[in-house]
Amino acid sequence: MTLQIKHLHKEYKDITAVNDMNLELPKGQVLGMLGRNGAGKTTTLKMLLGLVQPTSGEIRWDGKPIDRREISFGYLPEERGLYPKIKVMDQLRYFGQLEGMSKKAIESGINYWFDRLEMNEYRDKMAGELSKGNSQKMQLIGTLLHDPDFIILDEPFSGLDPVNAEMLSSVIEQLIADNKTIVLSSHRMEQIELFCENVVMMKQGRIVLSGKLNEIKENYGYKNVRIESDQDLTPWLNRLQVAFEQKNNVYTAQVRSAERALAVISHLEQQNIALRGFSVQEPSLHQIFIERVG
Amino acid sequence: MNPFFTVLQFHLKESYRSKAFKIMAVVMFLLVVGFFAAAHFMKDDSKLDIKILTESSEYTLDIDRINKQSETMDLVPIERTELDASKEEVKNGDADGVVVIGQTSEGLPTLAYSYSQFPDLDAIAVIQNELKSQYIVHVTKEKSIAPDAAEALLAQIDVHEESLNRTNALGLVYFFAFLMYLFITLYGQMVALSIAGEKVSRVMEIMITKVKPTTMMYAKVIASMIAGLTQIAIVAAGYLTARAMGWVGEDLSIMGMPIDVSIVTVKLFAFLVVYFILGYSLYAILYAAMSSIISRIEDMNSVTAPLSVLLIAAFILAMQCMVDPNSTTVVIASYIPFFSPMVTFSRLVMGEASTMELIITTAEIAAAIGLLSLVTNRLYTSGVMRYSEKTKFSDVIKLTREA
Repeated sequence: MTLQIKHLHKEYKDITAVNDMNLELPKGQVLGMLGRNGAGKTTTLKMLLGLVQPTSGEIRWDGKPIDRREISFGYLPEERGLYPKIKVMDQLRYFGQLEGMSKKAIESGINYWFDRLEMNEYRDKMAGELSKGNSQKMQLIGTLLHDPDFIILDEPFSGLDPVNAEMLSSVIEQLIADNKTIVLSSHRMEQIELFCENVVMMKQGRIVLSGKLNEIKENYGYKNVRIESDQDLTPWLNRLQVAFEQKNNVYTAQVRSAERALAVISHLEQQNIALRGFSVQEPSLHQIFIERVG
Repeated sequence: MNPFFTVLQFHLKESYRSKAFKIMAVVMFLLVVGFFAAAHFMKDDSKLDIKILTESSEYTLDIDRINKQSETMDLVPIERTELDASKEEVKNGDADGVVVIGQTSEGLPTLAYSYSQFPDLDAIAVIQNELKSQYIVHVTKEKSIAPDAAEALLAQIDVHEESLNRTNALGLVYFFAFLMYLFITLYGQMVALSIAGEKVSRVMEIMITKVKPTTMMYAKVIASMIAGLTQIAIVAAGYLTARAMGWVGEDLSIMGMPIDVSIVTVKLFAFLVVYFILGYSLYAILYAAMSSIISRIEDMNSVTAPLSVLLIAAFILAMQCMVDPNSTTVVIASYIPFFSPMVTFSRLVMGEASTMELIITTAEIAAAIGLLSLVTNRLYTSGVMRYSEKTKFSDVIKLTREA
């Protein structure tokens, strides 16, 4: 195991920010951290980075207490920030130097990321002159320039337009392919579902759900049956005592298992109801989040 | 490179690149050179213009002889009809004084001296002495006193002046105290602004993952200190340039206070640097810690106001030192670390600070910096991660207690 969090607890004067947190993240995998504002995500990230000392518990990396001096971190904070009156190149060089990179490595790293994120025209600009999206890309370069092993991305997609969001998605895919260990905190469930093999959901400092995303979905307790039909299915589904939602001619019913889902469809077919299509789906992360955390 | 030096180099480069630094460097250099150049080229050689009306038949001045002998005044004889116009000239600043020589019914000479705001007692003393001599001659003749006795009576008593206090250093005390106040305030606030700027722009969020907060704080404090020392070096360069040009002469003054540049020795300059470094360090770590807790630039003044008050108090005490360098207040203040850099240095310029006092005060300030750094380190470390709507000075106290 690469990252192990054991009985992590952080208490401030009036509140418990993180309460007895336990989790493991194998090397080269991505952990999606979910929770509403104030759930304890940022405090957990800051404890991972060594910026906040836990009240009790421990964080281990490769079996040893986590130490910023021994691990190469890359941290993209939720609040974006650069020195507004300094040229972006100078800032990136500064960040690279602080990570102990050689001048040559800094220059080649900057060139690579500027090409990759299409930022070459902004080399000599002051950070204050950049748009929000470009500032964010610049900050992402600062996060990844030193090729860190452990990457923490806090709301990386906020403020990005669809083109830049796609560009960031491809960067994250590449990081995953490069076997980087990543913790991704986001409110955007589709991004978490896309990249994260593991998820942890937090509520009021406690983990309410954690594990492999596919296992969570598989064992969550119900499946969604999506049925499309021009006929009114309401009486039939009521007769089967199935809870459902209707949007136009699409019916989404919740059933306990895949077998039960197939039984519902089979029943409708036996009644000679014309179905335009159907599918059995696992519950979405969004649904799970609303039910467990909302 | 060590993270400390990387941060130091980055902020030092930014200080040197800043417009404020460049403008100040040029202004300081030109001010110093300009001061000496002005003193050299615009020396006031004009003599006092004093109008003389003689209404006594017995007592008259040898105006031509006095004018030839005097380097400081020109006597201009006037008629009775010109008296009012001459007084008007004095009032308007076109002449420096009007003297009317008269005589009482007993034969005693009288002098009436009219001036604009301040009398020139040296000039009037010359006229007074002339008349006194004539009066003594008149009396010795009248009373038939022997000529050698009369000569003995006219003998002048030489006065050897010796100032026990260095009054010729007043201008220097003022200049150095102001310089130290200016630089400590300016560069202390520069540190505070830099830290507040990093927090407001949220760069701090990135920086604290790359370098330890205290490393960052001390690197910034020292970078600003080096920038401040560079400005002092520029002031010194201005002085050396003026000296090389031969413009540094005698009779210099600032705001009417004499400046004796012969006092500016290597030792004095070295202590200026030492007290600046210590004073700046003491205040800069406090500026750094206090500014670390704010989330908005607008809160800067309310949080750092107590430091500004302390600095103003130190400056006022240094001014007090010019009037009475050995007063109880000044002596006590020279041993209080917050006031010591300016007050003890002012006492040194006035020639009143002993070597023991210099050793004790520098050790005291260094110890105060060491003790305060224990608190400021913790305050800064927790402050840089604190974000809140509004910050007041009471929050500094609260956080200090928690730290």
